[in-house]
Amino acid sequence: MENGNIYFEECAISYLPHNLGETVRKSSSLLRGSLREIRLREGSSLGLTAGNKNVITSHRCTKEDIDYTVRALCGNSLYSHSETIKEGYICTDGGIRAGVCGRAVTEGQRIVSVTDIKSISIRIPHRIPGASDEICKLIMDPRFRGMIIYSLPGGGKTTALRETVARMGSKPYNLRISVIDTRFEICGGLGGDFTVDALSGYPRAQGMEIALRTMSPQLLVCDEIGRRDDASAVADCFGAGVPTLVSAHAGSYEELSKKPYIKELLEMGAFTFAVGLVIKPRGFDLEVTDLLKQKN
Amino acid sequence: MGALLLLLCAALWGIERGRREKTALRIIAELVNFIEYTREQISNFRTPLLRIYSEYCCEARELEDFFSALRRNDTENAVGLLSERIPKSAYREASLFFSSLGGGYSEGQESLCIAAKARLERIGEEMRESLGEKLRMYRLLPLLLAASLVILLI
Repeated sequence: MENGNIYFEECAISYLPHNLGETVRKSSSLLRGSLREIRLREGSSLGLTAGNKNVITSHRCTKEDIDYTVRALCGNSLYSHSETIKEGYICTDGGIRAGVCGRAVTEGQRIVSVTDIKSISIRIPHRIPGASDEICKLIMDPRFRGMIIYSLPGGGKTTALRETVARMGSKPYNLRISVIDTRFEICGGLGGDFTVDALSGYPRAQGMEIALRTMSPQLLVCDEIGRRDDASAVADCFGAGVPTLVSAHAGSYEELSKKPYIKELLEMGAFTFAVGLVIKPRGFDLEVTDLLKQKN
Repeated sequence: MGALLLLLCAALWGIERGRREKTALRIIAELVNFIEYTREQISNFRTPLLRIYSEYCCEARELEDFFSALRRNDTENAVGLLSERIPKSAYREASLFFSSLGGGYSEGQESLCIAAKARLERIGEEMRESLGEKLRMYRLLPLLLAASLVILLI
């Protein structure tokens, strides 16, 4: 699977100008297969993140580098990514997501467009087969009604969801899984033949409602919930008897259980397990909280 | 015999020049159609350029290689192919249009399409107006020149 990761790295490098791509290849030659992020900031050095290590290269990024990269990430069609750029990211067809920021043009509280992009953070998706074994076992527990996975940003939530979806959506499980892939991150890097229905780009709450009504899923997966309507959609799924696998930002279970809308879901019993994650080079460290036991 | 050959060459040269003018007109008309199609796709569906290129049904045989290059995402070469086929003013417009296409948000891209279409239409209109006159000139002038040369030589 290291080859798979190198494939994603090469995909990410292909969006960079030639000289920048070469710099990344040279700088990351010892870190191949573990590259997580490529960061470009106008006027600053090109940065790489491999594992948990940040590497600064000698290449100083210019405005031309940034413009070229943005255009390449958009497939030379900036207009077709305007909505996601407003939300701070660009997703490519290959499942690579890049965070972007620049100067926002606003009308009241609404961002109308983003111009003068100054920073790009290209996140490279990873496959860690077997990393979701523990999570799959929990999902197959007869008491399972739902699971919430939490970690700090960059802690591996999306990777865990992707691996779990790949595992549960293939033999021997073959569950009918609906994935609300709002930011095109989960299914983009999935590939292969899976029993997965991807609702790509749908707002979370709306996507969950549609999946629930039309796709009759056995497992509904959604990344990074946290808003009121997300929580009420998860509650609807719980009410309809469809188990959910969701993720949220939190450093610990305590922190998670204090989040306003998630607290309500925990109290309601929408989740059987809360799983804290720390990503490792070959998998995850899991901190499992059995919420049913805790309740009893 | 030499005189006949000279006259024939002159006539053929004239016909070829006329054919080129007509081809240039067809290419410009096709570019105008393509720009309008692109504008609609961007405005209504935000369709990415590569998909626009691959889904567009080109009716001018003269532009098959041009669209093949576009579909390979080789815009520079594609536009280069137009340089010998359309007048310089139209080529400048096309170059400007294709180099700016895809580099902005939808409102800007729609304006780009509208402006490029209007300018190319105007160039096409001017060419069409002078086409009859030019065709007559291309047929007669070389023949007259060749005839004069023949008379001089005799």
